[in-house]
Amino acid sequence: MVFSATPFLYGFFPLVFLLYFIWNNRVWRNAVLLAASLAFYAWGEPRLLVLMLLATLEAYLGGLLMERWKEDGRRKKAVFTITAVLLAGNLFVFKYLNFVVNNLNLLAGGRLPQPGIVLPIGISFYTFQILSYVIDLYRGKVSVQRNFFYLLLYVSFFPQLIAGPIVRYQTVEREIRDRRENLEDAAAGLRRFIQGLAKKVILANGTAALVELVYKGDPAVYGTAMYWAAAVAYSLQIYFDFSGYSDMAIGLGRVFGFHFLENFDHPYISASITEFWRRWHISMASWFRDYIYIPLGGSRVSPARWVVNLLIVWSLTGFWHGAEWNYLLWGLYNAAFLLAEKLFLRKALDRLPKLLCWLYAMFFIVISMVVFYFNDFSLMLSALGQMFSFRPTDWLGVAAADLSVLYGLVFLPLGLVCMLPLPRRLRLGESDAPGAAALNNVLHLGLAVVCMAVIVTSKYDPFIYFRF
Amino acid sequence: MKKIADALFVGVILMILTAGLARTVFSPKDVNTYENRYANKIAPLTAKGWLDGSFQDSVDKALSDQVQLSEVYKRTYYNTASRFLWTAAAPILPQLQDRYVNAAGTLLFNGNLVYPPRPLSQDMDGETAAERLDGMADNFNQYFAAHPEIDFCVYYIERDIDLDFEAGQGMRAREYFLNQLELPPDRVGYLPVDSFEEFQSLFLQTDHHWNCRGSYRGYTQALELLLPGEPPLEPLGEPVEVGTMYGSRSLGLTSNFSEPFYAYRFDFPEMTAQRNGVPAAGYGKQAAFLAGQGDERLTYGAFYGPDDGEAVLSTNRPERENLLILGESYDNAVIQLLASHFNNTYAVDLRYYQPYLGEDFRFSDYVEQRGITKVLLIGCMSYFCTDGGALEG
Repeated sequence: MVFSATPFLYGFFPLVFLLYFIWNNRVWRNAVLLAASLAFYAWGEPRLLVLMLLATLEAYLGGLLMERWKEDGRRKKAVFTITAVLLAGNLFVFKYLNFVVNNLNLLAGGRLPQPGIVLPIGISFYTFQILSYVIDLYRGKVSVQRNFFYLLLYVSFFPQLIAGPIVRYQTVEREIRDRRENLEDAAAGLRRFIQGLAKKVILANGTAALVELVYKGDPAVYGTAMYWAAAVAYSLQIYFDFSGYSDMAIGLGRVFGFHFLENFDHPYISASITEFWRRWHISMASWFRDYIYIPLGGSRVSPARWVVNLLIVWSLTGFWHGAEWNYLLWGLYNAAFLLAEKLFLRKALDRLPKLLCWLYAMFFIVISMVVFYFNDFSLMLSALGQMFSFRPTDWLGVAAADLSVLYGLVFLPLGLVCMLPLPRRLRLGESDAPGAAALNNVLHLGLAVVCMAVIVTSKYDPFIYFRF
Repeated sequence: MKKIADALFVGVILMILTAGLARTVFSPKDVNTYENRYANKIAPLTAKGWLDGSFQDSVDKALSDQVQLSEVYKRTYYNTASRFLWTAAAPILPQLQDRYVNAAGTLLFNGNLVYPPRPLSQDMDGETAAERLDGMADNFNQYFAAHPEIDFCVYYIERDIDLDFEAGQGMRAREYFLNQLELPPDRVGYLPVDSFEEFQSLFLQTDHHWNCRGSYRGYTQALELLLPGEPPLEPLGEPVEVGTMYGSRSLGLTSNFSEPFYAYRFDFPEMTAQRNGVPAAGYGKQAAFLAGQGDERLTYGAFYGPDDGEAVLSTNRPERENLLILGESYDNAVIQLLASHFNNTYAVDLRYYQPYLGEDFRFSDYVEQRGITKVLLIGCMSYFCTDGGALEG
């Protein structure tokens, strides 16, 4: 189930909201959330629900044993290692084994049988959440959770279950046991949800149509200009898709009294790749920083080791997105720019006007998104080739191939405007003027109705981050 | 003030959402009038349905059809989107004359909403169109051989899918199919479409069906196959404009396409009708629409008659033969015309026979029980490419 589908909007959410707020008791409210979260997952993955339950049970038992042997460093470490390896192994089997076997067969001539394992929805997200609990517990940063159902609620909580953000146990540890829901939070959460919904169904799906037309159409029809338009459109699509989902998750969490950390901070205003990664998918980037990069020594090591650390972290970041070589390439591409900026580009960028820095960052980010899009290297090279070897566009041919390309005239400029932090600049919704709150709510209601119209009508509704 | 505004906001949102759910679960409507089809409803919840996802799919589809204002949403969305699209496209459309223009899946060619040409090699669920036609021809031939007492006639309607308008190249499906039939040449006929201009003069602009000229030509040619020398009914003058029609292709992003709908007047003999086993006032509403008294949206099906599993028209002239017409929606426009020449005319659409009549169609039993002596198989390439046997259903 995805947030922008009618079963969630018209069925799941109102039912859970009503069942939740009927109770005035924390235990029952948590029970409603847990049952709802499991039902949410089972809606799309009824058979693979058990996998998530087992992974959580593994972390729960590992946590209890680590607590039991907290004074016995050797045993505690052994339990931690076994638990972490089992969890990572679970992720490896379900997400990467097909890929590894395929590649070994390519190298060795196809002797290994294909495992044909189905990728469970959201496995990367919930595995990372469970791992953060296990690692933080081992490090003594959080207390052990003795109630299995609370731990399960943390892992399976439906707003962040299948597409993040990656919520750390630390962030919600207290709120699981003790949180205060109120009308202001519920309204603010709903407004945030509607903003995310609009990003997804209007902007992401609107720009996606252009991407599909060009990348899945006849390459002979589309010239260089259209390939650049598609690359920009895909950059916008993936941003609105994922940040929209994060907005919806954060908003839903707030409705039920949880306060998740922000996951995006207008990444497309960045003036460098380094800045971009401080603003893009913050929960994932900080996870890799805190649980991989810093334990490897971070930057407080020899320059050579530091480079290796960065390459390791960005290879893993790439592969986290999927078991395909293009994701590895995408990770290493980003690593190369981060290294270059840290080593020498930073000084040059500091001397340039901000606009030029922004153009530099956007140029290379848009290219990185093309790498991210194509699993097939020949198609990727073809698309990049079209972008960099000038070929005029037969505009009439483009229109004849699909007139709906004209929607790009609306959604591309709209997306470019909406990627800017304009609402924040305009302080929308923060005014104390009389009637401002009512106006803000009316505007959000209107936006919700537009979203409903699009959802009820439209059949095209892919969620990019769903598959990670 | 802010608390009241927030409470109202949360309350209104919840009310909208729960009302949609309640309507879908407790009081679902039967028909989606905007899309002219049965409305989706939630399937019964079973373990199997949940595990294979079909229950979840049914909930999704049902909600999209059932929630309050869903048809208003769809109409508004498509009206807005199509208005923008065609306004933006207006300056370039004149430069796209004689070219297929794709509009989100619907093809436009010189102002007509058309289907793409269908080559014989086109894949149709694992079979090529040619293989489908081979299968259908074999099936027909078996029945021709098994029923020498019946005069079989086949009439093939060429249409947009038989010709690449851009290249001016025929798909040759008609020749391929008809040449395989083991029937005398005078029992096989077709409506030729050799150019876009010919297509334009014989078919509707926003609908895949033939217009009054096309269907009248089809009727006269089919009658000549069935009853050589029999004079056809003559129209009472030139075609008259009945009203504005939004054809079956005027949906979604082409919902703004309409055309004037023309029809001939005929002096039909008295007939009684039965539809799907039930006596009916008539088949189609030609007379009512022509008198300006059509009580439903003007469509090809509303005017000529809908896709019934079985329609029976009787002129109560026992000296005449009985005719069975097996076909699809194209025959709707000629059923009444052909029925004028027979005693009982049975028009069967195998797509709907079992669902409407509640029993399988058994050709041999059917023709024997009704004393049928002539059978007309009429349709376009799509019909002759239907999966499975044509004469049983």
